[in-house]
Order: sequence, then structure tokens, then C-alpha cells
Amino acid sequence: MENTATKKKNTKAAENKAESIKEAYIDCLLMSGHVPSSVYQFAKSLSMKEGEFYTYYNSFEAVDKEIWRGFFTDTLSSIQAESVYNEYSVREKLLAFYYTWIEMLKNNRSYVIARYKPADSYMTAIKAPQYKFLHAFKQNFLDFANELINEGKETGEIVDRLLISSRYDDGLWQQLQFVLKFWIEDDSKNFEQTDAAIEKAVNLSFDLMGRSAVDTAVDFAKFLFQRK
Amino acid sequence: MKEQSKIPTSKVQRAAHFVSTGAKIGGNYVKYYTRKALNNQVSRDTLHQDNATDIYDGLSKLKGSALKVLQMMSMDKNILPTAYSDRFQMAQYSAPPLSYPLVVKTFQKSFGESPSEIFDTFSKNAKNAASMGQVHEATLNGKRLAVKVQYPGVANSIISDLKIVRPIAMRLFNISDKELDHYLEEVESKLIEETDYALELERSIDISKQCDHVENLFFPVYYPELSSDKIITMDWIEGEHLKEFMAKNPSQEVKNKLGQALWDFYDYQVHDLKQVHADPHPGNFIMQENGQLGIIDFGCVKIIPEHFYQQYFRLIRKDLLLNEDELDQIFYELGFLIQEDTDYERKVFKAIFIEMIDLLGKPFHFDEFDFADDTYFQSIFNLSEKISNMKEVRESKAARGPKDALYINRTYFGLYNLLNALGANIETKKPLWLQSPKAQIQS
Repeated sequence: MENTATKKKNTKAAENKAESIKEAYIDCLLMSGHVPSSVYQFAKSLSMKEGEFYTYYNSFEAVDKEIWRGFFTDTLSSIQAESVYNEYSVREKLLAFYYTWIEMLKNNRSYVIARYKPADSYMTAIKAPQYKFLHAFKQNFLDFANELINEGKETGEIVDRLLISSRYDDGLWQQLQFVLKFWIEDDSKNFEQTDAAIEKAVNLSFDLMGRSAVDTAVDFAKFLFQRK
Repeated sequence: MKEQSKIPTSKVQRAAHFVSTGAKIGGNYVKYYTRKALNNQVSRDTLHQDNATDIYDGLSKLKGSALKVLQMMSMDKNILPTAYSDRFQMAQYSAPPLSYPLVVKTFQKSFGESPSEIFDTFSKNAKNAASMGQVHEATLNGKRLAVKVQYPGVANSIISDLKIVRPIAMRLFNISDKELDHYLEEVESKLIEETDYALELERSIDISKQCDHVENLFFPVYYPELSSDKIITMDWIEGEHLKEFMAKNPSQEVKNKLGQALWDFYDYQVHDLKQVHADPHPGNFIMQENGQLGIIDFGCVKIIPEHFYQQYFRLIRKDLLLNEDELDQIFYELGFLIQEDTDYERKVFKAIFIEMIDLLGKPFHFDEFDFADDTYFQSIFNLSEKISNMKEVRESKAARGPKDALYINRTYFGLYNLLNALGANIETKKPLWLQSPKAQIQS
């Protein structure tokens, strides 16, 4: 009994330590304008042995990775805590995700801008090696997106289309990057324009993924073709 | 949702519509010059007709503030053929409904709490569209409430819409950049004002308090503690909008009662408060079977400057039309006539304005007026049709008339239309000084 208590206490302490390293890293990055030149120097500024740093993270990239993963998991747990979340349609769930996620990022806007400086073509930017730290976050998001897509197919909000529907998650990932870029460049008061952009982008994507005139037309064409 | 997906929403899409409209107009010029080369009989009128049609086609795809601006300007300048301005009339700002997560986010930004934490119940879907926002139904402590939530970024989209509208309006109304400013400044400031919910709340409370004494009129109670710059909370008002109300075949007595309340409401605002609910759209009035009229939505309020008021309403006095010198002076002061006018232009425009004033001021010249009378409305339409087809009017580069008149005309135009749709016969109350000498003797 006592043993589990201490163990819990230890994990708690470790979490706190990891958290404080994360904060110190962000602070260091933003105050100096670049990633610390070495783990040695960074650890020293925290009056910590280099070795201790590695018990929590194996590189600065791992810290970045943890920060972005944190944005995601915090967002998800926060929207799922809302009692109405379960009543939401898939479209609304995705909207709720974006709104809350952007709100989380707002508290760390300087960090996000410093770390995520997309090149002109932001679609491919993330593939570049310096964005490797985003991969875990991408995987998290894709899992979430696929969950939504499957749910949407069940409720009929999303239509299963041959060949195309397996790329829906990719589409949503592009959309997320669009939202992020839009928010980074948004100069409106309280980022109101980003809210509008999210609303419109999500509505468009669900109108595209939902049943539309094209499906009816394809169905009709198929019918005519089969009669020949 | 389905219907909304067809409305061009992004600036790019809207711009694309304008570009295609612009291209068509260019095409019409080509057509015009070709026709002219083949046949010199072709008049510029045909060109204008073609342009007006294409412009309307382009515009009809648009909703939102761009449409509102053009619609108002067309009413004022009487340029678009009546059939078009008729359809423009009272176009509402329209956007796809806000998703519920965004409503939640707006609440959290304003109050730090979500709607379900603040109210006992809160409808997930909007019940109505409102000016620049949507209305949800809520209950709190057994009270039924209407909660208006603003679309995000509405002010920005207005500014970009107005930028888009500029070149097309210059074409359409054949006026210079400077003259256009004359109108756009007024419209832009009013539209931006409409996005300020804090101001709207203040005005709603103020005007509803001041008009409280008008018979058969009632206002919702507003709740400042449940309102913010993006949210307004008020009592839910029972009753129906004009169209649904008329479908129930109300008695003439009830219709007159409602019409009278409407007239008295505007009479008191214009002549006593000197500020007026300038959006007489059917959606802003709730009618009850017992003849009670509910007023909602004070988004668009026009403050009437005293000097303008004195000049403008003097025009309605019947005897004035006979007094040539005084009339000329007012026309110049209000900018209906300008110093640069030639004698011929002066004669033409004077005749037009006198005819217009005489016709539009007609209800004021009687003690009682039957707005159900369609012949009166037909003569208004005929006149504006006639004016819009006049070469002199279309080719005049000057913006005529004071900019303050833009919203006042719109208000009266809307009021007359509502009374007509209601089929009300009413007593046209007016301030003493506006009454014709004959009426004064009688009273």
C-alpha cells in the first residue's frame, strides 16, 4: 500500500520535472530565438546534470514532440469533458476540436510561430526533416480523424466512396495545416477570422464528404450503363 | 445547410462573381460598338439595359452586405429597373448558420462559461436568423429567452465586401469615386455600427423605454448581464411575423390596430426622438392576434441630424410645393440641385423631385390613409420606372440628395411596404407644424 503511494508520488514528481523542463525549454527558445546549442548548456542553466535530462527526454526534438502531443491530448480531453460532446454530430466534433485546439495554441502562440514556420507551400513543409517532431502529433490527429470518419460513415454524414474515402484522413490533415497557417497569419482582433475560417473549412469538407449531387449522378450513370 | 452551401462565401468567390459580371459588361460594350458600327440607330439605352440585366444576374448570386449596399443605392438613385430593386429590397444579411461548437466558443470568450452552464436549457440549433447573427432559444428560471449570437468576423467581411462593391457601383450608377464615397461612408458606418452589439443593447433599452407609451406596442426586456459584444439576451416574444400572421386572415380591425401602432411608433421616433429604427424588415416585427405589435432588433438605428430634419421634412408640407423660391433654396441646401447644373438640367431634376416628393409625401397630406390601396403603390413604381429610364438621370454624374436621406428613405419605403402588406387603413398622425393648413383649421 505504502509502496504504491510512493510510486505514485514518484511518477507525479517525474511528471512535474518533465513539465518544468518543457517550460524551461520554451522559455530558452523564445528568449534566445533559437534551440539551445547543446543539452549540456541547457541542463547547466537548469542546474541539472546532463544525464538527468536524458531520463526525461533524449533530445530537444523529443521535447518539441512532447509539447505538440500535449496540445493534442489536452484538447481532446477538454472537449470530451463537455457534456454535450456525445450529442455532437461528427462535423460538430471536428469543429469543437479545432476551436479548442486553437484556444490551447493561443496560450503558446509565440512558441508555435517560432517552431512552425511553414515554407511557402505549407502542404509539403511538414515532410521536411526539421518538422520530424510533428510526426507523433500527426499520427495522433490521423487516429482521431479516422475515428470521426468511421463514426460519420455509420451515421451517414460521410459517404464511403471507392478509392477516395481512404484519403479522407489525409484531407483532414491538410485542413488542419490550413487552419494552423491561417491562425499564424491572422491579424484580426481575438483571431475572429480564424473562427470564421474553421467554420467554413469544416463545412466545406463535410459537404464534400457527404452525399452530394455527384453521388446521385454516378449512381444514375451506373444504372444507365448496366442496362445497355 | 443545403441551401446555404450555394451562397458564395469567401472573398475569392465573391470577387469571381464580380469579375464575371465585369466581363459581361465589357462584352456588352463590345456588342454595343459592333451594333453601332452596323447600325447607328442603336442607342446607349440598349447598352444600359443589357448592363443592368447582367449586373442583376451577377448580384443575385450574392448575399450579404454587398447586396445591401447596392440595393440601398439603387433605391435612392432609382437607377435599377423597378423589377430589380423590388427584388433587392430588404435583402437580409445572410450567412450559413453558426455551428454549435462556435456558439459555445463565443460564450466562453464572453463569459468564461458555456451556454449550458449559464442557462437551464439552450437550443442547439438556431431558431431564427437575425441581423448579422442568429437567435437561439433558452430558458432561465422558468423564463423563455431569445439569445442572439453574432457571426464571427462579420465586421471584416463587411469591409471587404464594400471594397468589392466599389468598382461595380461606379459602373452601375455611373458616378465618380468621390461621389460614391458620399454614399459608402454612410452605409459603411451604419453596417459597422450594426456589428456592435453593446451599442445595440444600449439603444434597444433606450428606445424601447422611450416608446413605451405608444399604444399597442410592446418590447422585450433586455438582460445586460447576459449580454456581451457578441451576444444579446432578451425575452422571447410570442407571436408571428407578417407573412405567417396574414395567412391566418386577421380581421380588418386588428390589421388597422397593428398598422396604427407601426405608424405611431415611427412618427414618434422620427419627429420626437430624432432617432429611428431604420430597418423596417418584416422579420423585426412580431404580431399578435389581439393587435399587439412587438418590436425586436435595434441593430440599425439612424440618428437624424436636426438641420437635415428641418430641411427634409419641410418638403412634405403641401403648400411648399407652390412656393417656388423657398423650394429652390431647400433643393440646393439638400444637394438635390447643384450649382453646376445647366438650366435644362435644373428644370428636369426639379420636375422629378417635385413629382417624387408629392407622391411619397402623399400619406402625410391626408388625415387618414388606406395603405391597402395598391394603385398608390403602383404609381410609386411607375414613377421610379419612369425615372430610371430617363437619360438625364442615368447620365448625371453627381450624387444627388443628402446622405442622411439614404436611411430615412429606406425607412419610409419599408414602412409603406409593411403597411401595404398588412393592408392597414390608418390615421396618419404627424407633428402639428407638418399638418396642412386645412387640417389645422379643422382641429
